[in-house]
Amino acid sequence: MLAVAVLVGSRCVTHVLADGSDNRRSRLEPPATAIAEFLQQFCLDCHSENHPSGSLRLDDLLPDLELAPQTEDDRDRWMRVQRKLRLAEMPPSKSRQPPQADVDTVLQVLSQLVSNGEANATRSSGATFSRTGNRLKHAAIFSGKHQGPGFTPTRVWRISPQAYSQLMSALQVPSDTVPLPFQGAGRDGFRDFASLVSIDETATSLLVANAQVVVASQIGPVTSERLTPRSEPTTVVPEFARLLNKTRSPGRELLAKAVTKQFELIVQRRPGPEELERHVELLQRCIADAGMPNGVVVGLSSVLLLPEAIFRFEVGSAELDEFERRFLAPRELVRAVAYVLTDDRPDDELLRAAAENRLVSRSDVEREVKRLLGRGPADNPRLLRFFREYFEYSNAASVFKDKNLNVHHSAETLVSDTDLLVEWVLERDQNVLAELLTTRKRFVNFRSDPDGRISKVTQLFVHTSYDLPHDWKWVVDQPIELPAGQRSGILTQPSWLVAHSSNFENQPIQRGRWIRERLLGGLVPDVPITVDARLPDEPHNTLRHRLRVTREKDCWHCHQLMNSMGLPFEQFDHFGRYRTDEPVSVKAIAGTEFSDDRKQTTRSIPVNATGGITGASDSTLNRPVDGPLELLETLAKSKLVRQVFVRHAFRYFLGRNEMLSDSPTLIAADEAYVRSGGSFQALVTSLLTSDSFLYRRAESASPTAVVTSQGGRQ
Amino acid sequence: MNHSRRRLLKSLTLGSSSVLLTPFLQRLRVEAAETYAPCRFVFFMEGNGFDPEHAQPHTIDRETGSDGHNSAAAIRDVPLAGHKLAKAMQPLNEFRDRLTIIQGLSGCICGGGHSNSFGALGAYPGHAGAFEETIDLALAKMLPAIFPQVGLGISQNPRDAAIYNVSASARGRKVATQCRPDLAHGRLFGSVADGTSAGLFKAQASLLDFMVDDVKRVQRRLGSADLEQLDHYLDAFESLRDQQGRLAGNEKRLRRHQPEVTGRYSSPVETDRLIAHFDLGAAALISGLTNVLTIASGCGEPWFNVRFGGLGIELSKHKIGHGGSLNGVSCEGMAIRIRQFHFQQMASLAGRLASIPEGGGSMLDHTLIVYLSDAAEAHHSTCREWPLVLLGNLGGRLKTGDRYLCYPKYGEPGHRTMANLYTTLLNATGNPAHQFGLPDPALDHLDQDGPPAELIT
Repeated sequence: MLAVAVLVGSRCVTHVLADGSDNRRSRLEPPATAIAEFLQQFCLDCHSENHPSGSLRLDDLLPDLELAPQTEDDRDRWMRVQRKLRLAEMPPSKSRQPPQADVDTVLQVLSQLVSNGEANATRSSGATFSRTGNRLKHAAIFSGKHQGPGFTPTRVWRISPQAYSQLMSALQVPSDTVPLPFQGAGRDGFRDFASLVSIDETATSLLVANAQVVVASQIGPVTSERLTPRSEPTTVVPEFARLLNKTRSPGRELLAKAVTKQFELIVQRRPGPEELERHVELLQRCIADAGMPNGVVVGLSSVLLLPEAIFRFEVGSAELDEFERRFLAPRELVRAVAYVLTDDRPDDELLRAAAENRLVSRSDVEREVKRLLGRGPADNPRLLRFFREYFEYSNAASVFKDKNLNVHHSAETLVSDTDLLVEWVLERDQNVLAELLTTRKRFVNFRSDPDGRISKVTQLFVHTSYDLPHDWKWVVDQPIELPAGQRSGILTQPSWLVAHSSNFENQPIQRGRWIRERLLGGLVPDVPITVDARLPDEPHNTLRHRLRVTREKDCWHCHQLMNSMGLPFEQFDHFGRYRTDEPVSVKAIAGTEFSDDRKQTTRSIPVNATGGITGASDSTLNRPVDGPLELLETLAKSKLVRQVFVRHAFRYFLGRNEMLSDSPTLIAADEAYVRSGGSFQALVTSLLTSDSFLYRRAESASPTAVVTSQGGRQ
Repeated sequence: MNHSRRRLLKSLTLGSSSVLLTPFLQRLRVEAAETYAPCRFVFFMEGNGFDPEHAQPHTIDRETGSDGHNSAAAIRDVPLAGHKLAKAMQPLNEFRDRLTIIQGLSGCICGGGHSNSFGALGAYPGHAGAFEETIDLALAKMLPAIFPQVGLGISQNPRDAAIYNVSASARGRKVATQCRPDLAHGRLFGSVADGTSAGLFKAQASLLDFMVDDVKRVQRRLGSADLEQLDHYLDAFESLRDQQGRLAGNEKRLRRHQPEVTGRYSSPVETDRLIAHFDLGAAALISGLTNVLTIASGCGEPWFNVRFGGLGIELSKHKIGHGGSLNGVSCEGMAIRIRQFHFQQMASLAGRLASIPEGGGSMLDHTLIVYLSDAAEAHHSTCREWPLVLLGNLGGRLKTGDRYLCYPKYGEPGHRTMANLYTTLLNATGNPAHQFGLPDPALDHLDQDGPPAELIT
């Protein structure tokens, strides 16, 4: 066994490098020694136990690449070290300076250490995932005891893939020439969550390549083979093309005009004098090095890579209020308002309002929000996307189904039908949640083109997924109303049922979990990492019967939170078709369910769709139910369910989980929704004019500003 | 010099500088480098499962139970010589003396299904996402290069530029699989591509320098705001800039080995793109850009449903996985045809590496190509067995080549797991790890630690 002693300040830490009993520790990296030496030489004189400078103590940090940073605090401190070194702000200029090579080495190691810690922190706290917002007690939020004031921590938020795509579209660059460099955050939960999305090296390299494709198309056809646009540009920027017309290097004035134009096109503002100077200098250097047109292409691509072009900054204006908060600056507000409802960059009216000092108050924001919402759901795509990600019905398209079992299955059509239903409910904007949980209205295989032409989406008999007769005649006048007694709202849409099914069967556990978390505000722990959570392979038994294994002691603790609310949906098969019988194999032969002679080997058992609501924090909801309709009607009337819906809307539109200080925001949003008769627009307007949306506070601010109804700060 | 010391010295080279490396350590680093001849890995993964029958030589019986899984009571270890490779593996005939077919390893901890995603190379549950680093990135730490690892692959959507499906550098840190050969070529060989002058290269370097400076300026201006997002952005630009500098230092070698960008590099046809990826990956290895190459052909959900139209096959792999036939062609026949195509690419890569002299032999002598499926043994897998084909022996570090090795059935004494194999690979590069990934709790009665003696020298 080999041990390395790492002396950090007065503390001696021994790392076991080759200890067969613990593999995790056996992979420790010796560069820890390098960091320890560096800290000792350049940092610990000022950042040790007694009166550490800047309240930053480093002598108790363990530079253990594999396990550390063990705590959030460790990680934050390492990040501060990393940042200070990177920006050459430490060691102080009057102190002895380390060789740059050493700084580079330490930064390289710290980069790995911090990224390990970041991943661990994300996973252990879970605080950044939207579903874990439910950890905050519902009763506490809506008790009225917490008076805020609301704020969002200052943040930098990467734009969404859709927003990037729209930027490329606004620049009229053919989409096939600029691949999407990044994606949303996973398949479950809200995908444009501020703390979950970031940019890595591959994404950045794609951004760089895309930026140069954009500029290449902006300057028009050129003779260079490498940078010739792959398709004819639709918009050539004269200021750029003019640079190429010069037989000799263009003068500073032309370069400045080109840079200024690029700023206006990409970040919708003119550069400041110092900014302009730096970008012109870069452009000059690139032209001098690479000549025409490549120098222009590279030099002008910098504007597309500006942090401002890729991220939303939400830091706040200069003025601090009594709670150490800052109102969003006008430049930040235009993007916050535009990107909260749409994928488009701020429109002219928003920009004008900011330029004319008409975007500085809550009422200013309310005016702009109402203006945008007034255009209707179709022009505010993030409204529909909220419902897609909340209900998760759009995941139906990624559930593989065996076409041989239902040749008329078309997940894409089922999803677009549900999109239309949501938009239809949003246009009416009354009792939106209850409608979505109970309506019998349905769009079936329906498409309405932008020019108003109505047609079927597909020639497949998709209507059979809605239990309509095989020979049903498709109608233009939609939505249609389905017969009573079979379907009730989105959770009985085939799209939702398919999204919460596997390739061959229903997923009552996942359906129950969805209700527990999205409607009742509960939280089901993740399956333990080493648990093989599979149901027995018993095609001769019903799914309900196979779930018996989840009643075992170690399983039931969690499954009691899910099963009874998912089982009523056994009323439908895994394609979302209503059924009264469930087919099972005659005998226990693994795999027969997929064989051609299935009919000969199966028998039918009457569906048992009973279940119940259990464990709701509103105990009046807890009761048995006869089937999915009773379940959904009960939930749709619930105040708890409505408020949990408001909490989810908060998370989506603010891009983060709620805190106790957001209590007034959530209560006001709920009241606005109730007062307006269930208007989603009223709910969204309330959220977007709340303190939580409008104010930012640095995380380093003193933890003073929490006010209770009993008065005063705590 | 023992393994621990070697490993310490090797890893010190990852980030140490002149001041931090004493002359003594520098001397030992050279010693370590001399001890370790070149070493590189290729992980070639194909989606939708690798049927054990597709790996089984015709003339070696495969013992199976009523569930169709391996039922061998004891390890079986025989030379491949004299045996006929399975039809799917015929393209590898030329390299049969370097081949090792491994049957019977399990990976039940991964969970199975359509894909085990990151779990396939991580030996942990597939549903956990990027739970820990995967073996390709773990090996890359031991084999530093300009690009520690290069991930290439195809997805069902030809427009995907990068997907995050099989590789991870740490918990929560997914590593991209680049899906567009033309774009990946730009990333790897753009510095010496046709039409790229020294001047253009210099301009690109200026742009990256400018961006590093600009992001730092923004960070300073923002002061105490949450800057993590910008840290990632800055990291990325710094890394690209560093790569750019190192690429410049290897210009001659890159020019000599850069692949010609053909129409295949931007083809909508999946077979063309996969061929292009192999072309590019081989060039990346030969030019020393990387020592770890991961090629993922339709791996991970929802990217696995590739249709191999380039082979004249009309069904996508998901449908093929469900069996049946189309126009008189059985899905099994289609699966074998697709497998053959994949092994043709593997043989082609091996051939290219064999043609490059290195250290008294060839590059192939110091390379290990590992073929497996991210789904394990079937379209809907259980991972009770995980067939593998290994080509090469890493310069003699592994007891591989001309072998058929079948481990005892799941749970029997002598049974081994994918984690054992990955531990073996780590040990072969000087990392003395005893475990990799997570142990299978159902195999507590078995030894799941350390490299099996029958694999490592």
